[in-house]
Amino acid sequence: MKLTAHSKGELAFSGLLLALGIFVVIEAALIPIPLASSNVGPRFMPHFAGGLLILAAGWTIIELFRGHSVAPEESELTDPTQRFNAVRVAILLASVIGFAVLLDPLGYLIAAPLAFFGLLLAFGARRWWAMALVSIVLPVLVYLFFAKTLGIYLPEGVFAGIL
Amino acid sequence: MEGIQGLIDGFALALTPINLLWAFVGVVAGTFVGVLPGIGPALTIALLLPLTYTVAPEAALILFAGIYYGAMYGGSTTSILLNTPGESGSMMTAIDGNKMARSGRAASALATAAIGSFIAGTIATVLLAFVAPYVVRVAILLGPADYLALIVVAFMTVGALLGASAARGFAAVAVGLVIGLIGFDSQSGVARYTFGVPRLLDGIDSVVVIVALFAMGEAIYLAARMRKGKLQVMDLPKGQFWMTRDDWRRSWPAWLRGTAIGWPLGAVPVGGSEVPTFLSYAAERRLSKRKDEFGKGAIEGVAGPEAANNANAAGALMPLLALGVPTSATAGVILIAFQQYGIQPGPRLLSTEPDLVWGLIAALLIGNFMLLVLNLPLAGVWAKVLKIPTPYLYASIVTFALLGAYAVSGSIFDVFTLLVIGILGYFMRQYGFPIAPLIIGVILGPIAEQQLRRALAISDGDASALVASPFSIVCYVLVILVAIVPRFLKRWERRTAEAVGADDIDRGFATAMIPAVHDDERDQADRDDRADERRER
Repeated sequence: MKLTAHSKGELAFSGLLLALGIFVVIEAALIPIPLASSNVGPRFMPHFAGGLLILAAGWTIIELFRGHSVAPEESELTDPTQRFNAVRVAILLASVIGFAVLLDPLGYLIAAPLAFFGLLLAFGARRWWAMALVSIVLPVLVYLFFAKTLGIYLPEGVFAGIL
Repeated sequence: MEGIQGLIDGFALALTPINLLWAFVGVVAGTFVGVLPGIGPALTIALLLPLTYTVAPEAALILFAGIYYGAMYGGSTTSILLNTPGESGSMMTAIDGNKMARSGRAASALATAAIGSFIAGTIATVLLAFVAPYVVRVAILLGPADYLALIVVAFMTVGALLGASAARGFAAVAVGLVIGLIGFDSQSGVARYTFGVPRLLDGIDSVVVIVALFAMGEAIYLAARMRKGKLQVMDLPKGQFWMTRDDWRRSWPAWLRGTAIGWPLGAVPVGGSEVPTFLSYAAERRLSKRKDEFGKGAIEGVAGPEAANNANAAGALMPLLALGVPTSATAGVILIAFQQYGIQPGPRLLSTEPDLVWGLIAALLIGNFMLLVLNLPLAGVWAKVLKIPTPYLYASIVTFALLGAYAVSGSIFDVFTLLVIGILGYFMRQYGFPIAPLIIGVILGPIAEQQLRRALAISDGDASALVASPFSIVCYVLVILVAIVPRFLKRWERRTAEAVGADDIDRGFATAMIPAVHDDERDQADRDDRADERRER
């Protein structure tokens, strides 16, 4: 039988889940069982969850070979027939990782606007001045609401002591 | 009657200005996210969980429940004006609702959806108030074995019903169970699957999992495969803004039937609002004298499912409040909100926190009325929300997700966890694996393990105790039924979808819930269906 690129991907992902299930069951052997263990020790649920994953992923693979491929859901915003836009995804991932790396040293008020701008790029915004403006205004409002009004801790970074 | 007295006390609590304000904020925010494509009530509440650190419990829960109800109203507006449901419970509404809008009857469709939602929501919430005390009386007698059975039912139903195939649903539940295992084992104290990473010892926070799957996964998918061109939003016709006498006559039985279908199916764990809305649509079509109108703009096809949708949301609060078992992703997040306050929903909730429960129920009734006022004349305003440019909308969602993940424990580690699980979410989205079962697995997995241990500790290791009580036997019979019934349900759905012209539905049942079968098999199935129909004649 012939597999489309999409069902090959489904197959690969299901295979990965199957491998995860096997891994979970094998790793369960390394979980120490305390001497005063109850009827259901710490290995029972790992065996159950891993076993269920193996069964379900295996069943999905069998379904795929019998032609039961599932198309990704369409929505008003996404179109599964579009080619995978690697550039945009890379910008998105870079924005998120950049946020995580910069948050503690530089503070929320630097990390969030940079991330927001990157995300706007990743989702295809074009007007630079509007992007820059919103990227600064929105995180500041969020900061004021969460950190100053609700008292949730957000790193101040370079602004420490100033705000 | 415990229910009446409780409601009176509840209104006394809910009618304070500050709680009215929270209810108002909740229903406005709920309608807003219901209208917006891609974010639903579960994600919104998960993102607002940081509020629980600083806001009083009743205020936060009134807000969250308002969001839950509001999203149901908002979803119908998008379905009718855009032909694409804002959330899954509004799929069936899109079929006839959008057809009505295209033939200039958008106002009638929006009105029947809003009034139907109001009537169904009110009846269902009052039912909740009256039935909950009785359920609690039964639930208080349930032992750990019974709870385990209930959780097994929940796993079974969300696994088998939410998703393109049961295999994929169970795979999602299993991944959720695995994620839930990470960290210290609550009983023996040994570390599981932490790989020597100290940060993993406390486990992965379920809030991070929910936000990652709904926000990050969806965002990556959007960046990867954004639709070209602009959203086509229908403008509301000026002038006719109300239902005709005929519309009323056709709507009200559908509202009541929808309520009757939606509420019980929310109260027993069948996983989400897809099934009841579909059943309501199918029932309306079967009972109607004008079957040919279905799929072309039958008002019953909007009135019934919308009522079912809202009644279902209220019904789903029953197992959450009375048993502590969530049956939908949103109910799961509300459970986490309770836990943030150290409150455990379940049979004892009504006696330990009566003010909270009755205040919440009363606030829902008030919020439901606010929603009617907000949605009936303002549907056109809500439709404008759709004009927010997608990049700004999604950049905001991701920024909030990053903030939410960080706020869980003030740690960058959770931001990286968010990213990793978000990538998992992308692949699940891309390859047709449902997300809600995973979330239910993460939340209920650890509870299931605990109940299993308790049950076996009581019976001194005798496994037959797990199936000894009448209640658990009923549950396991239900599990077997769930394994069998969906096969018929799906065939029926496909037939209904074909009969009303599924080609015109952007994301109706035909594409969302029925496995795309191989062409040969589909032909065979069609022949079978036709043969069945001949036999019926």
